[in-house]
Amino acid sequence: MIEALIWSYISALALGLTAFVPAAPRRLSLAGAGFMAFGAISAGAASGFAHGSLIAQLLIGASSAAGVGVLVGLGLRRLDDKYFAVATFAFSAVVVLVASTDRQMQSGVVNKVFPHSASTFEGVIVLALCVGICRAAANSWFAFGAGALAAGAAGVLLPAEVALGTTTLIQQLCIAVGVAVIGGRRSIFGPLLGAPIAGCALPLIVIAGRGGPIVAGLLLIAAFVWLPDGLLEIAKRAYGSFDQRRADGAA
Amino acid sequence: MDAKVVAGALFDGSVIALVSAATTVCLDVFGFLNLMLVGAFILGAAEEYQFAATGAPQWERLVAGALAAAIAGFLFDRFALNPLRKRAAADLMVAAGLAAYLIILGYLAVFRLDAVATLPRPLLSERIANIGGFTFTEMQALAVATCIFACVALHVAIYRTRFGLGVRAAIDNPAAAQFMGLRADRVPPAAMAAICAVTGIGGAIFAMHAGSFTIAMPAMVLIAALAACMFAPVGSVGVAAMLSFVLALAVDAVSAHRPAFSPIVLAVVLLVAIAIGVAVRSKPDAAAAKDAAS
Repeated sequence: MIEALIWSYISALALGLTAFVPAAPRRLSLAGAGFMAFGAISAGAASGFAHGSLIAQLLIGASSAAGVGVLVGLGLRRLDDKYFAVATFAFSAVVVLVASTDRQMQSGVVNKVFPHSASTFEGVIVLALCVGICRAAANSWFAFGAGALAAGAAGVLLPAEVALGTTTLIQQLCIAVGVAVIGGRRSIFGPLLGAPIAGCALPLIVIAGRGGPIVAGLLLIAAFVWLPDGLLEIAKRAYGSFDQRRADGAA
Repeated sequence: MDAKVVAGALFDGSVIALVSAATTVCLDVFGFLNLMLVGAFILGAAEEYQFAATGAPQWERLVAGALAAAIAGFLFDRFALNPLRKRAAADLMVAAGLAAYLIILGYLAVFRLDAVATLPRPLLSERIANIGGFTFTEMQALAVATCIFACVALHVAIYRTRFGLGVRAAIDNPAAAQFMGLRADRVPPAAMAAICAVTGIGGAIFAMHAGSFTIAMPAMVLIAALAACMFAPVGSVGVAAMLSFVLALAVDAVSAHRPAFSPIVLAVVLLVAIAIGVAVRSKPDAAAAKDAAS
């Protein structure tokens, strides 16, 4: 159970890091699910070169997703917010269509392509590295590519999670956007804070019963309406007012 | 070109045109990419299946799909978009559209509409007409006629009536609209209901054609609708619908004459088309920003 929750956290955080565009916090990227699928497809396609090595497959999957992420990010820099959403969503939809058409992804060859399923410890280490890269690149031109790197790595680590249709694509985007918005989009720590809620708690609510998706959707909408700046901003404001009161008391 | 391929493309084009018309109006009037429309599509399809199972006539199934999607759209705007609009948070509106899709999935699960179902289609749908050597089924004719009617109705309602003017006034400046006597909390939800109804009709038409029901919008329909939207001027229902028919014709012709042609290539071509459309569209904004800066 705990292991499953850790993997949910890893997957949600990787997706959340792609929805998070620190230089433009009012922009939401919907390319996360696409980068995840792209990482898995490219690692699968290059499995012959990797000779079953997880590290080689991770390097291939994550770096190819990052490369595409940099190109997409450079192309989208000057776009209006609404067209940014259209372009990133179209990217995800096309990559997911490719993934669902690709025989390797469909016919259970996934097990051959990814012979060494990663341990939880390996997953945590890879994600920590990705978070570090995202933090270092947060305000540079590589920021979009760094998010794609994390999603690509998650695609290699969790090939079964790759979206293979519009329904799973939108469910993954819900998690990505939920992680970024609930946590906060102004700092890398926002997605870290939002992932346990949107990545672990929400999926548990969804599978709890037939009405689970309704409750999860309503909770997400309530969070978007009442917590638009995310939990991190609330924590910062609370700490600021506490600090101010302490300073006033000392004076 | 084979007349059968053209008839098939007209049907596919009708479904794509309804989705692209709704998407372009939403982008123009509401100013965001509404992914709840994907949910409205499957809701329309699910209701069509429910009514088909009871043996309801085609027009009732279409109305049921449109009505269910319209109610969902009204509630979505009233309770999710309205508060976000007051904060001018277009990014969160996109996010709310995703959450609304999740709610629709839950609704389908609660009422057990999400199970894969296969229904025998009535012979009426497969009745064949022949006009001047051009053969088509009744369903294809119904799809095209419904698409034209729905697109014209949407265009007239949003761009040619006082209601449409009211919608834009209520979205641009709710306070001023309220001073003019408009119900700023009722008019935009009504417009969203109309937009979702058009998508719901698309879903219902698609479900009439499909032998079995699965809760998903075909990715190719979604991508083609986005491509048509990006090439048409924003808010131009007619051009978006025409482009949808052209795209459907191109896709069906390629699939018919070159069966080996992979759908992956088609999808990538459409992605490139979307990228070009987005790039062309973003130029005036960039120029305006430069002007403002200078």
